[in-house]
Amino acid sequence: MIVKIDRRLLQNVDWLLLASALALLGLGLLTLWSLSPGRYGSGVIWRQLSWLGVGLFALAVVAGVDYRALVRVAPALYVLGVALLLAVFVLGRPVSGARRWIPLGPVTLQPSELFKVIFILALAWLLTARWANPRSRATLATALGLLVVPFILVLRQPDLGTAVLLLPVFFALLFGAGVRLRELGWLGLTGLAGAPLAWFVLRGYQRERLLVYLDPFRDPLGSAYNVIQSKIAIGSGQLLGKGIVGATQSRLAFLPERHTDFIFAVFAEMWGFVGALLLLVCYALLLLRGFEIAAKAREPLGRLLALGVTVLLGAQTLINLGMVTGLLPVVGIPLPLMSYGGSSLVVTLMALGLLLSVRMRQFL
Amino acid sequence: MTDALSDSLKTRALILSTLFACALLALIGRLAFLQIVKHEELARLAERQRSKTIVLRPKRGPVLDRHGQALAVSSHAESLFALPARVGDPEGVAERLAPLLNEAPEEVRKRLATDRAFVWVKRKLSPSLAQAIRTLGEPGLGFVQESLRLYPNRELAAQVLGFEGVDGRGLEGIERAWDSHLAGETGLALVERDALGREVTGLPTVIKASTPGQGVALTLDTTIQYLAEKEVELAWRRTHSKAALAIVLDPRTGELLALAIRPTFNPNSFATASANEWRNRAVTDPFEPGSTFKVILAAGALEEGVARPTDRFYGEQGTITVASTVIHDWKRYGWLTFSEVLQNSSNVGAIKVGMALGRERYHRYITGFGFGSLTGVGLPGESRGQVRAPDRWSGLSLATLSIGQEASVTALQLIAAFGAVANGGRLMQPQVVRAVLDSGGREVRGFEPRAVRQVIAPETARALTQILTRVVGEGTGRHAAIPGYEVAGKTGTAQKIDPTTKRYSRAPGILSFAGFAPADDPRIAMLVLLDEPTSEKWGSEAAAPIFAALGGEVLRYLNVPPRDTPTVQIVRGLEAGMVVPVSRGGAAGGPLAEGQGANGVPLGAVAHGALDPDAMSPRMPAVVGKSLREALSVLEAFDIQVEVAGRGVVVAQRPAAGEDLPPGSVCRLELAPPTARQ
Repeated sequence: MIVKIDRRLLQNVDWLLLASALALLGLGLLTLWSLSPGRYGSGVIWRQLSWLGVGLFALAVVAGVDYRALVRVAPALYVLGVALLLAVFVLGRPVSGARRWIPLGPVTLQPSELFKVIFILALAWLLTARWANPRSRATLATALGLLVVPFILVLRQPDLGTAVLLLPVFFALLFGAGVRLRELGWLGLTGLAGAPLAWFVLRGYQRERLLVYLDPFRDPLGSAYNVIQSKIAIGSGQLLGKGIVGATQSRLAFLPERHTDFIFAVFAEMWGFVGALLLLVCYALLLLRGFEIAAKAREPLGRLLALGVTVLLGAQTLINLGMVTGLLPVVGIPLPLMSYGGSSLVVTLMALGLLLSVRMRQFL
Repeated sequence: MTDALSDSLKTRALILSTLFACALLALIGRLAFLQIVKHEELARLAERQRSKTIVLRPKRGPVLDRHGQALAVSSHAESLFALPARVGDPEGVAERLAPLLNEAPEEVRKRLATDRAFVWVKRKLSPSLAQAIRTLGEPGLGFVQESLRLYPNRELAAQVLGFEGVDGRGLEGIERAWDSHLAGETGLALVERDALGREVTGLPTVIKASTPGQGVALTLDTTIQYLAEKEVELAWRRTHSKAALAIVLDPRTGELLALAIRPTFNPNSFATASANEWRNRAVTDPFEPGSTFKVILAAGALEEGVARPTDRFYGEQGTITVASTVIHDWKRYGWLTFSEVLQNSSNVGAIKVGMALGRERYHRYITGFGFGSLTGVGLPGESRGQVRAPDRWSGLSLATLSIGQEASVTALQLIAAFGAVANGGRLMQPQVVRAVLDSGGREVRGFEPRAVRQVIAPETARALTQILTRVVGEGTGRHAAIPGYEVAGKTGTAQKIDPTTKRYSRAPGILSFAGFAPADDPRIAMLVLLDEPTSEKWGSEAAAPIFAALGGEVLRYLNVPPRDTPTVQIVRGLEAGMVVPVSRGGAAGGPLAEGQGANGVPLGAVAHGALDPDAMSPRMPAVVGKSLREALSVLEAFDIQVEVAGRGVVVAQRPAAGEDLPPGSVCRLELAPPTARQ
């Protein structure tokens, strides 16, 4: 693929956005490294580093392509995405009871991760299509259809976290496209009314997690174990943290999923409130920059894409941090840019590439 | 899109960003609550969890010598713990346990009377003792397997090996430098509840099993190390030195074959010794090298063409004044050749050579030979020594550096530099670790010899070697001569600076001898050093004989053929060649004895394979790559004539290896200078 790079494009690369993303990636690698120093730990680090290489390449490619071209093929991508989500049920490799991954030679692909970006593209395509008025009921119904199909498929994998993430992205895009508040309200209410129905789609352990959230003392040593351990780890980090060696809660394996979903607890135990604050500042910079790009975009498509990506990353960050600190129920989603995991890292970087693409072209 | 609509949509984006900012602020509040407000309670919970945790120590990987002999191993030991809540009758249990543990019952009872969930009663018991305690059948007692570090050869190479501390970490030497490989990964077990909080009955639950550590194979040779230890011990006792050491390395690879130090300690009971014994002086303690440093000066002078071996320098009748300081020689020398300057270790001569070489160039060779920088041998606490930059030299510095003062070097740096001379001018990085092994003993990572740089040209190294053989043959190094082998080397005597007067003390300082052998094809480079001997004064009288004794033993152990063993007799001179009849039944014995006596050295193995005593016709062994001496000692076993052409190592042979070699036949060897060795 030959991408002609306009010099003006490079001048408009958002360095602040890239710097905060790189800082977070660096802190993530540091945490992974500190969890398992020595020769046994290097495997995790090396795999994450190679995924980082793939991800940065993907970021550059996505940023280099004109997003309008991407949106033009969005319907095809959407069909492909849904097909992959269906393929998971056939080809998927079950890992601890869930079929989320498709084995591809030496690596595995998680279609639900990839679908998050496809969903943004497809919805933005619909809301900016010349034939569709974002304020019409028909458009809304179509948008709802675009949401419901993948939502149910992902929920059945089961991957509650990723499915839930589609919701804020959906509402944010409609909101940003100018859909009247009254209609959004109706949609929200309908969703709430339908929520009890979702109960029957949920798996047993998912229901249990929700019940535990409502009543933490339901089963303190079973389902609530993760959250309790996570809170102990974070709290024992105190103001300044315990350092890498002293972070016993994390390193002695009390804390489950410490490389992936609960990596923030490890970080907070090691570096304390001060370190966690620094981390949050990095995320805040990233997100506020994303919203700024959306606000400054001069045409609706760029605005919707920037909004979609920012809300996706923001929601994922907030839900993950909320769950690790015990504010939200455990839904099992990784922390963007920090958690160990190839698909998540690459897709997050692709999403950032999309954001950069919008920013780079907003002055052309 | 109208401007009004566009503005309202922009507002919507800003509304969303405000929402997210609020959520982030809420999160910060939550963190402050957990980490600042509730930290005490949560930290206490963490502590309580940890108190129910048993760290399972992995089995530490072994340290082996170059032939796979164990230098440090871990054996299984069992550690006795108690779950006090389950021990029914603490007094009774203490009464019964105490005699087995060889302790007072009161001590044991105190340990059992605690409100902790778990206590260690005694760590690292022998299996038989553990069995005896098991047969008591007390409830609430149990064992966890741990490992116990043993150093089967006791003091052997103690400072190189170091030791493992009580907490399972390596504290000195290889044990420390390679701790991350040797240590393995700790496991984790929980008492009463497992990590998922499930109630378990009985013994601790292993959450994560420990992983045994990797092994480390050293370049040391246990036998050579033993010989070095023996000689150093003898010399240390006889000379009443503060310290003594010997280093043996293979100059071709930089591999350390032995490093023996006195005073020493037994790593099995390291606690009874102190840092004075633990310290690996060969790398941690720099000293002024004295006359051995004249070799570095000579290397620079020869390489730069400042002096040829036959050039003459006037000895000034033993006294020279530099920067209004008078420097003396031991004798009133007149005219000396450059070679004789070294042979007699003339200070005046060396200073004149130094003046001719100049400070910049001399400094370049000092650093070129590795002084002033770490050798990279990978032992902890290594010192760089001290070599000042030429712009910080005083008017006297060039003169004092020419006689080995005003710079400090470690013993390892010094012998590595001599090794470079032995190795055709190429400095090899000293190496002590050969490979890392997995728990099954398979090599997972090997370390190849690493050349640091070509310091001087091979011809220069050869010329210098010739001078150094004369130092031993007819100069101050006479006592280092090893019968049967040609030795190249240099003595060194350095006074120390008296810390109170800040002047060179008159008391004996450091006596040393550094050299290599055999001079034409060096197999070992060796340094012997005595620190402040009280009963000997001169380097040549104290360190050199130890060099000779140890060197002879090591060369014989390595089966390096002595110069005069083959009954070589030149019968017919050829153009640039000669014929040597070698006959069966010489002093060295038959071929089989040669092969078996070799102790696994390849030289003998070749002859052995080629020479089955029962076979009717002997076959030609492979001698390409060997020195003439080695080749002759192999061929000596046959009743044949050998025709030799050229100098150096064998590059071609006729008949070819494996062909018939009937008695009385003529075998032709072609030799070439050994530059191809690198």
